[in-house]
Amino acid sequence: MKSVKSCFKKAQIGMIEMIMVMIVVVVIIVIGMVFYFKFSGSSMEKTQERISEDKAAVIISSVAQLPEIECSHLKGRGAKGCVDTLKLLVLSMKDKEGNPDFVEHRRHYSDLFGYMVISVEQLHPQTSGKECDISIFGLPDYPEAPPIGCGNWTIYNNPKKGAGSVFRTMPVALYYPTNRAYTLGQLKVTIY
Amino acid sequence: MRKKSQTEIMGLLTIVVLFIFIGLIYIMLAGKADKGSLTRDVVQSEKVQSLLSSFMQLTPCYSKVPYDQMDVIIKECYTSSGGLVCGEPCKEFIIAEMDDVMKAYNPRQEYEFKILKGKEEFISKGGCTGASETKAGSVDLRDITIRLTYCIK
Repeated sequence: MKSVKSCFKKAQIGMIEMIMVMIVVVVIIVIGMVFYFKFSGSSMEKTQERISEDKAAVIISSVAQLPEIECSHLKGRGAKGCVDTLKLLVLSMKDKEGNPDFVEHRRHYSDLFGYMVISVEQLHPQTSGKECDISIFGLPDYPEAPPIGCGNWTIYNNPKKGAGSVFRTMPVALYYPTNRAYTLGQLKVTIY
Repeated sequence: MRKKSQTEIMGLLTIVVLFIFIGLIYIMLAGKADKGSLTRDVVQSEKVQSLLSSFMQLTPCYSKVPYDQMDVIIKECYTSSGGLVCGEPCKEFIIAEMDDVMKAYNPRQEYEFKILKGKEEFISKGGCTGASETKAGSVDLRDITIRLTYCIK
């Protein structure tokens, strides 16, 4: 009778030991899984972020060198990083709804850029920051000096509502062809 | 009894080894995640170069027609060993213009701006002492080198 009782107690201890080992193993597996998913999740986010950054870097460089906005008078020498403000004005006017060229303009550039907002802002000398149109561009202080009545040209405005975005800037020289003046601006690209 | 304790020790060792293994993977992945993006470095270098190139094209003085670009102003300032631009001493004018450009583009960015002929400094503004990293752009005007450096802390 005594040996049966001691055998039962031994089996109980064995069971408890086995349960403890199982708990430890399960805890180790859970910790491993938590780490694995945490890192695979964050590395996926990082990869996605890096891809977006790469894409933004490529896009901003290529936008700055678009023949549609680049300073063509320089004919390649030093033209990199120089943007013609009259070309910007034409493009920004075409990107306004109601303009007869709007549909054609948007169709052409949406194939190229997709969901994106591209604008150029004059930084120095400081301006009012207003969107430039033909009326503001013709202020009396122009062409004697760079216009300060406006300082922003949105040349492509196709945002994606509710989507995440990457914003990048690139310094550029802004060229005013009528008085051959150069100011400092920045090209701004928001990619969705 | 001895054999049983040996088995227990082996089990404990296995658990310890497992923990060390998980720890190593954690450290490895954490180190990998902390490494900076190469693209970010390239983009920053390109930005400095682009800012300097834009600066060299600026026409900051509207008192004389046709307007002189900054590269012409710098060359004339160097060859005349001083002189005036827009009624100001040219060295001060160039430094103030670079300061305005930096304030307009990135006001929080510390920088170093130098105009050199060989090793001789013609103009020097700011410094990157104490910066852990720098990104520089330069433009050569024959024998004059214009250098802009971003100080990154």
